[in-house]
Order: sequence, then C-alpha cells, then structure tokens
Amino acid sequence: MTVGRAGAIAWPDNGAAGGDLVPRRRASVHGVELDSESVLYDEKTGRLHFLNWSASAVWWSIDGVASANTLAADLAARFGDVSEPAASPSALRDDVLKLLSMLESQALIEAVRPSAPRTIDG
Amino acid sequence: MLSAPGLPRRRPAREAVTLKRLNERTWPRVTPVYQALDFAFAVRIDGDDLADYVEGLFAPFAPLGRANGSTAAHVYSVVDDGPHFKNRYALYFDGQPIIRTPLEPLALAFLLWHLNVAVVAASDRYLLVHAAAASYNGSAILLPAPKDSGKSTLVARLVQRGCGYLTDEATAINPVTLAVDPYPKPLAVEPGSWEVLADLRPDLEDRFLPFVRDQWHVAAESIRPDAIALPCPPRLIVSPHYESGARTAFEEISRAQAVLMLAENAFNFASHKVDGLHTLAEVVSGCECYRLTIGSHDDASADVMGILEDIAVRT
Repeated sequence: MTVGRAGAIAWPDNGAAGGDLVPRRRASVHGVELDSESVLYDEKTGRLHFLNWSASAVWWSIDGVASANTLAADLAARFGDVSEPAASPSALRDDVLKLLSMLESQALIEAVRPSAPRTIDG
Repeated sequence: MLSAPGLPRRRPAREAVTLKRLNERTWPRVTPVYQALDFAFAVRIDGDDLADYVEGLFAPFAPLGRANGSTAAHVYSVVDDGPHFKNRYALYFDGQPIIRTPLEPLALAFLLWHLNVAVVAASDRYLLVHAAAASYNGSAILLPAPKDSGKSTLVARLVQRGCGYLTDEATAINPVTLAVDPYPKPLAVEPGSWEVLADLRPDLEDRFLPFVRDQWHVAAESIRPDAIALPCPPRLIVSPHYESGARTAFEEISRAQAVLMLAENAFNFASHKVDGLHTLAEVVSGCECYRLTIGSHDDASADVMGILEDIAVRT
C-alpha cells in the first residue's frame, strides 16, 4: 500500500485485502440517483460514470466511516440470498470489495485507515 | 471571444481595424437585429438575392428592430468585392474573417455554421444539448444524437404530423424553468434526406436556387404557419439512429442512461458541471427514455407520435 494525500492510501491490488479499509467518496465526485441507477460526475477530471443498480447501492452506502467489510456485510444483509451461491454473503463481500477496488482505480473513492477507537481517557 | 476549430487565429488588434473598415462601408442591405437564444446579431450583405434569402431564413428569430450595423451586439458582414476578384465573397463575424470564397452559397453555408457556434457560445446560461426537439400538447420530445443520425429528418416528420418545432441542432434547457426554449433555426436537410423529405423541397424563386444546391434550409413555418413552439418541459427522450434496411424499433433505456447520454451530448456541460448534472436529473426524472433504430422515417415518426399521444392522455 502507498500513502496518498490527507491520510488516503491506495486500495490494494488484491481487492479482498482491503476489507478493513474505509472507503471515502472523493470530494470532487458528485452523483445523482434515478430509479436505483446513478450517474457520477468528477469535477476534477470532467469525466462521467454510469453505475448500475448494484454499483449504485454500494456507492450510496459509502459514508466515509464504515469499513469495506462493514459495508459488504450490510449490503449482504440487504441483498444476499443464502440459497443462491452467487448471492451468498461471502460472494457479495467479494463483489463489493472488487467494486470498491474498481471505484478507487477510477479515482472516484479513496481509502483511509479506520480511526482507532476512542477511550474515555482519550 | 469566439473561436472555433478551422478558423484563423484570433488577432484582436487586426480585427478591430477590420471592423472599423467594415463599419465605414455603405451597405446596400442590413437585416433587422435578430435574437437567437441569447445571441443578438444582424447581417450586412452586398447582394440583394442573398439578403432576401437570409431575411427569409432568419425570420423565425425574434427581430429586435432595424439595425444600422452598430446597434446589434454582433454583426456578420458578407462582402462582395466584385467579379474582378477570384475569391470575391468574404464573410466576417464582427471583425473576424471567417472565409473568403469565389462562391456566394459557400459564404452562406459558413454563415449558417458560424451562427450555430456563436449561439451556443453566447447562450451559456442554458444547458445546450446536441439534440433536435419538438413539442406536442405542451410537452417536449428531445432527440439527442450525433450528426447524421436522422434527427433533423425525424423532427421534420414530427412537425409535419402536428408537433411544434423547437430546434434541429441545439436544444436549450433552461436550468431555472427546466423547460426547453425554442431555437427555431431553419431545418438543415442534407442530400441524404432529400428523397424521404421530398415534400419539403423548398419552393424557391430561381435566383435562390444556388443557395440550396448542397443543403435545403427549411423554415418550420413553411411546414405549418404556427409550427414554432413555445417553451415547454421535456416528457420524452428518444435517441435516434438511422440504419438503412433495419426494422424500426424502440429500446427502453433507464433514466440514468438518459442523463449520461444528454450530458455526453451537451455542448457546454463543462460550464454547468454539478449543477448541470442535477438539472439533467430533474429534467429526465419526468421523462420516458428510449433508443430508436430508424429503418423507416414514416414508421418512426408514427410510432413517436403514438408515444406522445399516450403521454398527452396521461398528463
């Protein structure tokens, strides 16, 4: 992993290794959602991106706080189906991590390390 | 300062001298000042035939009054230096030379081309999409597509079937009202569409025929006197693609795909940025969206009218 700006680090090439990282939408990227699909616009590059419904669900669940593993678990709980191997929680987790890796490769998100939990003593 | 691909490099000092020289000339013909979206302009012309033809073409643009060459924000000048000069005709935009040519119709062709460029450049408050547009029962249909996709032909057919005409080139979406404002330029009908639109062949005096040798310019009002539409909100988006011999067919696309298509076909999305994205999302959220393969323009326009009538019943 390489360290980027403002605490951002590059997503590992092996997406599955990024589960503990926290995805954060880049400030220059804006989106609109219509009928569960989305169009993103990167103000910095001027590029437009289309997200289908599953990618859109991932995009809008990114809150800059939850780790990739947590997002994957949440999405698996919402959309997973234990009776379908392709929609099993572990398959969905892999899909979410791959998608996050792809979003990072398009410079739409950045990854940060999770904050250390705070103690009462600070 | 307007520049465009293929035009000479801008030279402001030289252009100022040229404009002064042009302003000092005596012009036999000066058109009224026209308003096309946010672009106000007049045309000064040496030749009566071209002047008469141009005044007919630009009549749908709201005339702001008579010009004397200095009252318009911008002025085109078509100079005829006479038969002793090989390239006797010259077109200027303000003081900027656009073309010098032996052919008066070519000067006209460049004037019409440059006018589109200038209207787009001057009307940046609109989100301007490369699309034809028509209206039906207070709703607009947008036909976004690249050049040579059949959008001018389709919009002409729709106007013949009773739709109002908004534009065949640059659809102006007002970000405040979310309506399409008319840019009722003459329909540009290329030779490839002359057979299918044979009934729109301009009925012109012989002196005007050289001006339509390579492209017909069809005023919407010649199709129907009340053809120019009022501003109206889009309710239907159809991206046409002509394919010889194909079966005319619609394919529904998602609204997000339509937003992407409109943004990618916008002349000035880079000016509107995030606001433009939200404008398009708001516009498209009230629309049905399709891709259309056109095999027959008659079938395509009839099918589009069917969808418009369905929408009219529902709204």
